[in-house]
Amino acid sequence: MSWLLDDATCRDDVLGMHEGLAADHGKVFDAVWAGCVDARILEFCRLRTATLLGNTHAWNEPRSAAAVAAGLDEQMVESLAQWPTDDRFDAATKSCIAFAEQYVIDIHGVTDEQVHDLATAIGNDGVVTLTTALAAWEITHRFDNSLLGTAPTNDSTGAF
Amino acid sequence: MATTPRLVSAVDGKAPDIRTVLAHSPEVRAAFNNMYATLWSAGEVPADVKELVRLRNATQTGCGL
Repeated sequence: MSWLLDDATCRDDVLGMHEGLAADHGKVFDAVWAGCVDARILEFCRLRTATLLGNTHAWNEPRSAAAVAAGLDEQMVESLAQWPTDDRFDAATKSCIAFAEQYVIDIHGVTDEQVHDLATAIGNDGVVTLTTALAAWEITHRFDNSLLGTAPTNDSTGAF
Repeated sequence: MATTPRLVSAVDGKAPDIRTVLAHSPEVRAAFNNMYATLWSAGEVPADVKELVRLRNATQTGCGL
């Protein structure tokens, strides 16, 4: 599955080749999921950025436990690509997903107004948490794409 | 592209910069900094090569910091 490790079956197997980094990588996500941003919103952003970066692994692995515990609606996950026109996504969620998309597609296109609106929706601490999460997910998505290869697509969401 | 921080400082009396803005979420900042430190301090890749990669990546992504 991986060019680095013949019997690797997932990201943890490959990342585990560097135990210290693997531990720290996990702690970043522990802090993100335990932070001030609604875990359901974070999961939408994680999956949306995975789609934009073409990381099928992120869709195939289990959903975030924190998001599931917070009541993640799998039907909304299946409609994630339609978030701009789907009224089930509230204003705060839309602000976060829009920021996540902008972050991945064109970070220099982020505007003062966009960050102001985001801070109004989720607070300054939320903006820092979400931005750090996006950075960590971008690392992870690119790690998966570069070292794990392309996973078979088995999602029914139309994300890929 | 903005040339000044878009969030206020989280540290009283301190101007907004990368450290004082990240201080809005100290647990997340600490965890990310730990991972960043590990990237620099551990592994087989020499630090000078890591720095070249960091600078090249900054150039490619338009990061002026």
